[in-house]
Amino acid sequence: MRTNFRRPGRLRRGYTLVELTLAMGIGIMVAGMSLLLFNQQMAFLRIFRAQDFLSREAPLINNYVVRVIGAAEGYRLYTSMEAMTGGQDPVLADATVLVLRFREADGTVRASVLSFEGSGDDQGLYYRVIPESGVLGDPDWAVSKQPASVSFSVEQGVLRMHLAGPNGESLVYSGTQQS
Amino acid sequence: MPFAPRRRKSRRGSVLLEAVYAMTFLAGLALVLLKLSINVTAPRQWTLQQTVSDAYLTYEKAWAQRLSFADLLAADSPWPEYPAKSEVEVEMGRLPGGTPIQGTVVRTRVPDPNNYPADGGTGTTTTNPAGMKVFRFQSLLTYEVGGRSYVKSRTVVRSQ
Repeated sequence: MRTNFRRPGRLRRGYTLVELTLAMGIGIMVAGMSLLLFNQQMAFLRIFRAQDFLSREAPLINNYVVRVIGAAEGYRLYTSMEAMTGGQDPVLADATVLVLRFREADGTVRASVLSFEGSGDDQGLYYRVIPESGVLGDPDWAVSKQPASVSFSVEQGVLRMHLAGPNGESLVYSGTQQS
Repeated sequence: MPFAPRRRKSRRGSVLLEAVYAMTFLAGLALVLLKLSINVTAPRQWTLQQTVSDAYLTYEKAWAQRLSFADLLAADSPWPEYPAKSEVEVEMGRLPGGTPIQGTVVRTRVPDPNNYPADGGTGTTTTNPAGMKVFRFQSLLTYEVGGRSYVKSRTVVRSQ
């Protein structure tokens, strides 16, 4: 007795080379498009982050610094914290340290320091109040750690703060102390 | 009625259809996401220009507040009396990537109508018994973004 192992209706023919090539080609195209979509989103995120300093951080820094400078009675610029604490002469350009003097309501004078200092992740624009003892401690707070550089100068009698961002952006804020 | 087995529906070619659906969907999704990205980044470009131009104008304002009255009213004043004006090309700042943004600053000063005639007004000892000199020092910054021209101004009022 012969047995027929090929059951009708269950025939599963293999794919031809053309079908396989077509399927692989389409698969590659779909994968390519997905990759393109992903890259597009990554590019968008890069652009978005690159704009972050100018659109968000710089106005915040300006808002803070202009208010502080506007309330000050006078200021001095120093090239570095070491130059300031070492008793070097103040400068009019390329300064990273701004010493502000405020007159209190009772007539006493208080001073504070705005400085761009530190390195690596700690690099930033810091604010510290000079205590009555005159001994400088750690900064009270960081105004921002995003700028690549901050420098102060005086032009035409106007205090200018040059901010450089992490992506090559730069802008200059100006202010005057109270008169 | 005798049982009649259904013929098996052929599904050959369905993979091609599904792949076309997938690609069409991905292409549509890419376009929608691109449009959304542009919708988000375009206003931010405008914001960047605002930030940089606002930053530059802080200088104009501070300078007008800082200069002495004599310098402001001198013949070589940076703010000549209207309709005279001074015009200066300036670099307002740099965008991400270091692209500079240029602008033009036009400066002029306008005397208060209540100034004495010698100071550009029509005031008298009755209307201006203290002899006050009041001037508006105006700086107009013009710059272009995407082919459009924008003007932004700052005015400082000084008196003596």
